[in-house]
Amino acid sequence: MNKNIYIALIFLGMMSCQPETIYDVGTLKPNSEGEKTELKDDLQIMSIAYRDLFEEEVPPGVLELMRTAYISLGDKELVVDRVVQAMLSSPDLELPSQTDMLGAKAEFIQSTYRKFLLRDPSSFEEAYWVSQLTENPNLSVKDVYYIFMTSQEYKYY
Amino acid sequence: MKKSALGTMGFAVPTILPTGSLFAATGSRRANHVVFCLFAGGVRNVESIFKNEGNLMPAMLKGNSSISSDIAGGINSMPNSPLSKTLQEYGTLFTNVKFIDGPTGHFNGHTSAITGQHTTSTLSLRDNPPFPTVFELYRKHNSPTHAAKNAWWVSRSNNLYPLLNHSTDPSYGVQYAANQIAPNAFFSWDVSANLKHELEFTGSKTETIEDLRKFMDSNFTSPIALNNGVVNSTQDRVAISNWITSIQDKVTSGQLSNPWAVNPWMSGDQYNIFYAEELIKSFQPELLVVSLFDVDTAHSNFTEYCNALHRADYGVAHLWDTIQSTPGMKDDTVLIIMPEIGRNQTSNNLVDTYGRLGLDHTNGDPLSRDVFCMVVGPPGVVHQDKMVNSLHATVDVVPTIADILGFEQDIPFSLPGQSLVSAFV
Repeated sequence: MNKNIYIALIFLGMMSCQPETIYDVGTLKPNSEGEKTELKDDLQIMSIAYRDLFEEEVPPGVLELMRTAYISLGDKELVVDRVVQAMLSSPDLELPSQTDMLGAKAEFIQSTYRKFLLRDPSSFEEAYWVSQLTENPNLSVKDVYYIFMTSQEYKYY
Repeated sequence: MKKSALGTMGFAVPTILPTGSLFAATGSRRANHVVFCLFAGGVRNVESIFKNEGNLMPAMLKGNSSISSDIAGGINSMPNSPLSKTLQEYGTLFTNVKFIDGPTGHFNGHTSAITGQHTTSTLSLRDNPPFPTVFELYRKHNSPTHAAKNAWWVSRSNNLYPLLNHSTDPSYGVQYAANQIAPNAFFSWDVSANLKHELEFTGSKTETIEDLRKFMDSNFTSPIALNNGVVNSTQDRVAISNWITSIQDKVTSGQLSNPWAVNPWMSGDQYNIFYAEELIKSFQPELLVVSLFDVDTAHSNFTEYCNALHRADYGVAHLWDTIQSTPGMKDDTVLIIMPEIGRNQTSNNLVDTYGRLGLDHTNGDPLSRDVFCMVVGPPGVVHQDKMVNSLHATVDVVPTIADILGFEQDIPFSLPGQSLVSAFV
């Protein structure tokens, strides 16, 4: 049985009669100088967020759910925020453990920057994050991922 | 700062801003809240205020005429009205209102009602309207500049109509937009079930997360200005998010399965009013526009159109009862009810199961431009049980709202309509 993605569970059943179409957001990369100058649209953000977390393209049913929520509420930033939180709350999401994060803070931060922002952290950024993880041991992996996924830089490529 | 009711005072009272400066809207307020129910989907005066099929709207309109016997079997019985008298007796009924100009389509009708401007066939169905909406006029010209949480657009669907929460006018736009929600879609079971799960940020963690996000954002220069729709303050966004969560929890736990106990079920229009009531109870907005639409089934099913009218009638009475039961809104709210367009005099060829023919709404038919408007409010503000038969227009609603909330004279351009002043004491 394929992995039951919490967010997609309801829609898999509802969409079972429809032909499978994969929504591929493609690969958005920063320009050669490492600067991000292009703005992702909000549906791209949510689709890419899904792929970054679940490491697969967003299924059509999940995308439709996101789209419905998105166009049904005027505060778009609020909708995107809630979609991100819902993804991070999924019981089927596989994350690094808290122990792994705290046991190798620098490595965790480096991999998180590459995962979401497609770049390495500067030495200053890495040092700052390592100090914050040390001073705030109650910060979870989900919390850190949430911060990255709701940052301004994540909205650009 | 909460204003006291100014409707009976008749002069402008300065409002002290948090900065300590004084600034007042030019006009005084008749009331501090307006709810505009777009009784939309295309309603003929024939079936509504003229009661040709009997009184299909007994909660709103006086009269005991029985529903036509040939279609009575297709009309669901509604619970008794929660009001002690008809809505008509709580206000003023304008019987001769016209959708004067523009194609007699729903989006054109909605646009005229919400902007106070006439439209043409060039109105785009894919873009925000070119004229400022009543939400933008309210937020920009009121004093002090009101937060988006005070202005809500509760659209019946998320198809086209969310575009009406703000315009493309460069002097207005999204910064003055209403908070828009299409609750039937947003609070559908599947969306609610999948989006209600939130991370728990408690105590000092909230501050830590916010500080870390500021750090991230301080190291990145946004090359392009973001347009994320309506902008709520952090505090307001938290309040709205909490409200959303509370509703989603009720949806998924089954508490919102027919909360009005309507037999056999609540319609989409009734649910739209229900969610508007939840907003009213939580936020007491100064301006809320809610639309209905189920009557548009008239194209192919005349009897169901009458049934939808009957259901909408109960819904609007329920809405007024909620308003009058909500502290902060009670006796300080004017409710305006108006269809956006009418329907044709001539039927089409589509026959329903009761043998009745459908009704379209086309440009050339005069009845498609005839609607009614009801203005309901407290006795000291709105004339009770009054009927006005003189000619008015659907574009009169926006200046009426501006008049009620005291910013009509602050709008820097002329609107084609005029306030429905004959409704007011």
